[in-house]
Amino acid sequence: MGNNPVLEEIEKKIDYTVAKKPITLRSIIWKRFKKNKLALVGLILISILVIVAIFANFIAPYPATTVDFANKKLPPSKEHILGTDELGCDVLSRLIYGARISLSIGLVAVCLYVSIGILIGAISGFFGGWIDAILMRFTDVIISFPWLVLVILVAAILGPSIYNVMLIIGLTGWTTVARLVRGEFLKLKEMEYTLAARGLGANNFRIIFTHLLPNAFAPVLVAATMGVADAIIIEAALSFLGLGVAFPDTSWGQMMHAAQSLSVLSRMPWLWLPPGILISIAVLCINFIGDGLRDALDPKLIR
Amino acid sequence: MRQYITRRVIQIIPIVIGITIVTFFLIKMCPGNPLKAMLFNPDIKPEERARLERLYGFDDPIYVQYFRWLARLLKGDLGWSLYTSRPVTKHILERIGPTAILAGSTLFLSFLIAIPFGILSATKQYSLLDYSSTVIIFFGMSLPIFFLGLVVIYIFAVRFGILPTSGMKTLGIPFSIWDRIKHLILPISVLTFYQIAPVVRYARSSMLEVIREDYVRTARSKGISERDVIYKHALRNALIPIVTLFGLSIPFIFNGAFITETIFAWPGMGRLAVGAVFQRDYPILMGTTLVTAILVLLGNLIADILYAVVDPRIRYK
Repeated sequence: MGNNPVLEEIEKKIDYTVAKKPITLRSIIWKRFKKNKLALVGLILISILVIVAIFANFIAPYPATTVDFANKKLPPSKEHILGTDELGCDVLSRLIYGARISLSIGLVAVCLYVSIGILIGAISGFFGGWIDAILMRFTDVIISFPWLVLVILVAAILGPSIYNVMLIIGLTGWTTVARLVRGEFLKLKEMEYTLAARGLGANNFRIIFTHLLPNAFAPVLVAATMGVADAIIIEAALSFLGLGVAFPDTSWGQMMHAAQSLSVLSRMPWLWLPPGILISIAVLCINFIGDGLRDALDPKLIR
Repeated sequence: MRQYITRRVIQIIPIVIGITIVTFFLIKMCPGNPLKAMLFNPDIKPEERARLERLYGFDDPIYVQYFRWLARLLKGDLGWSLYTSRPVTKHILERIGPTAILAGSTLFLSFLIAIPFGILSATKQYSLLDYSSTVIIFFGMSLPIFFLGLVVIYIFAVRFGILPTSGMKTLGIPFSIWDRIKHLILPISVLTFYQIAPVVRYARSSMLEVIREDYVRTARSKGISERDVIYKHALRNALIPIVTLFGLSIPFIFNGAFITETIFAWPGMGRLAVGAVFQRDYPILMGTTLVTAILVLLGNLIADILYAVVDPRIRYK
């Protein structure tokens, strides 16, 4: 065949790279996600923030909590680009280290409550009956408390610290995910493949984790993404009130705590404006990503 | 109809009981009680402390304490503040008014602004208006309410000095409506901005759903003008689910009010609760938590009943 010049010519023109790359579900989702420009911008900005957070030690010009009373309350200058706070700490450095704690609280808290939510929702939706009735009434009870009210109450029990904030948000935020997973499970357990799995002798554990859960994955992922945004806001609000992260630990919300005094609010805007702007940007980006994911994962739109 | 309402009311009874249980046990888990503080007081003998413990029932099993508390609760007795020694109910009744002013005006204003916005952006999908409402929704979802509060205080009260920073009235001036309104403008604007986002989103998607219904297409094909199709045929049905948002917004409003009241020193329930956390004033905290949860539940109940009243299809479910 190699002797035929016409065939060789055709051979050269065939673009094998296209054929070699299989079309996977992931590549379809990524392709659709990329179409949403806001989501893409969000993803890029959040990636930058995450990199800054990870390499905070190398990026920050000063340590986050070196108290220096000689240089306190300095407005922005060449040495301290964003000025210094009431204890003489460099604001820019605290912002950079704050990214670490604010973002990881958001992430850990959401992992925690997504796990709780999946567990409760899965048990409730799969087993039904009185287990479902009890768990859902319990969920109704927890939903009746406005989230922040419940968070403040649990914060009063546990006291302020980074790990407690993660725990507080994790223990109180699972209700939406639980309801979501339960709803999906009620639908999925009636599907034929569930029956087939049962017919093949799969036990409940296997059906829940290998057959039902992956199919309920998309809405949970979207809820979890948006949840990270909510968790960052709740952490910030809690720390702002003085019930969350406390000095010497630094989070963006904790940096804004100082602005509760009118003199800081009116005379030292460099203390509270930058963390506020960063919280807003981070939350906005995560919400954009969540929105993009929702569209990308929507099975009704898959062509 | 009556049957439906009765059933809904009966359904919330176990939830109310659940709320009292959760509140009671959460508060019981809080560190410290007034008698523990006496441990370190050398003037109070251990026997005396034991006598007080018996008197207040702190040595009883926890479920006995719960039922005793519940019995008092049913009589409307929420205990006394540890800080001011006044009944908790008095404190809450004092503070519920200012919160109601804030929440009521916010609800009213946000619906007034958000519903037309949502409806218009649905009828003109993908227009400039639609995009701008999407942007507003994202900002409303993403800006932390306390940051927005600080920014408006900084701009309007500190920089321009045209509005007061905090409180409900100017000290030393007799009450006047104008003074009250001036104090209300900033907190209400902040809360309203925060509340608009979910209502716009809800109104928009509700209208989008209705526009695609068959009867709307029928109305169009009969030759009715686009305006009449939208405002006479579609709008009414699109508004039905929005009615329920009045009730469902209550937890949002409380979330926002807790923060807003703290920033603007607005003497409402939220500020009472946040203050109680710092003073370790558990009876107050218990009271405010219980009252907010019950109000949320009532909001849901009212939403469901309203829904059944305006939408005859719901009743037979």
